[in-house]
Amino acid sequence: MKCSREWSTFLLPIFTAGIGLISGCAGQPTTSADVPNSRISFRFEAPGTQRIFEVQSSDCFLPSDPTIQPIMDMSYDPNITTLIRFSGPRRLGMPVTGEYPEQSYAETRVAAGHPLALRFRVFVGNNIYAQSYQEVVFTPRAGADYEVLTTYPDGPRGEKAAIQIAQITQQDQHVKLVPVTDVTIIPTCSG
Amino acid sequence: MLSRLKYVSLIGSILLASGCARPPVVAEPLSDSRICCKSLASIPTETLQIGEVRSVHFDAASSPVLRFPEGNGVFAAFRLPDQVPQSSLRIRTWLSSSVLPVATFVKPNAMFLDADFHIIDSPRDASLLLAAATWQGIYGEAMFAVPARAVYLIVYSGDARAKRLIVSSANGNRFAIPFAYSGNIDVTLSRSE
Repeated sequence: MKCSREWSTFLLPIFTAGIGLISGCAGQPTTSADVPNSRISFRFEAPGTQRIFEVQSSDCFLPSDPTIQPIMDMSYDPNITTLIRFSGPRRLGMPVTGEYPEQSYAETRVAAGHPLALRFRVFVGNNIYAQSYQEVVFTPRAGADYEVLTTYPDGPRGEKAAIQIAQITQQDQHVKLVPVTDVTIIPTCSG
Repeated sequence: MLSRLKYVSLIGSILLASGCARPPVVAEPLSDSRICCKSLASIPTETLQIGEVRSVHFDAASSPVLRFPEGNGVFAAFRLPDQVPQSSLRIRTWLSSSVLPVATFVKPNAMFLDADFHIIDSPRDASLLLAAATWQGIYGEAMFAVPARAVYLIVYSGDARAKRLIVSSANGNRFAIPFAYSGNIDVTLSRSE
């Protein structure tokens, strides 16, 4: 079927707008190496999937609160059976902190020198119904590397995720993790 | 053909932008340059009568601003009627929209002054009780006891970082509604029972 000129004039804007609406606010991280920045390696302790967003900090949060931009989207499943993989986890050449499965961590760059509020939407293990939302705020130092670890305090079949942040330091070619203590954990809004 | 592409891009961009148009979780603080008055004695007041419902529209961009203990805020000031021994103040703050993802509130605070424009020590904020009015939408209601010495009342926007109100949508999703410096409030003075 061939669209008439009138129909295409009508449908094209709807199609374009539809793509816009489907994509929603899904922009790409804007931090480049040209501005003061830090590198973060997001790592899973055990299998799971997580989407991480930069958000505006507040006294409490709900999953329905707006986000500023996506920071990372990653999935770690050692039993994955997909034969074709289009791209691997993102790497920036950060110091290696241990021998971890390739899919369990991914690296990105964030703006440094001011508080960074991150919201984690974590699907624990393979259970798509076990979602855990966490929000943390810390101030990355320009030029520093960090590891942000997603753990499951209730075990890999639990429903809760927790976030640990450590700075990666290097001395005499030894890589060390120093826990970041100045981290604010934002509670969910009650009421 | 080029003009049509421009048209398509424009429409798509507008809709894309509108899809992302959600209010910030915490409103931008009001600039010191907006502060209207040097002292509390110089602020403009209107008379508020017992039983009168006074509607006030606050606009973050144009309403007068004063510095309050909670930070800069937009305000409305009233002179209270004489010889009312015991009265209470009811403030209703209206949700800006029934579409919860884009809705905001003005957090209503109240400050009472004596005849010399000195601040009377009394609670400046009160918990908001949520309710709905037919055709008008959702509001939060705050009640204040009017101190005996009070001659003037200032109703103003409280701390934008204060604990947000939680409202559930029809399908059960919960939204923590941000406080804003724009919005409508109703101020009513009543004789205490």
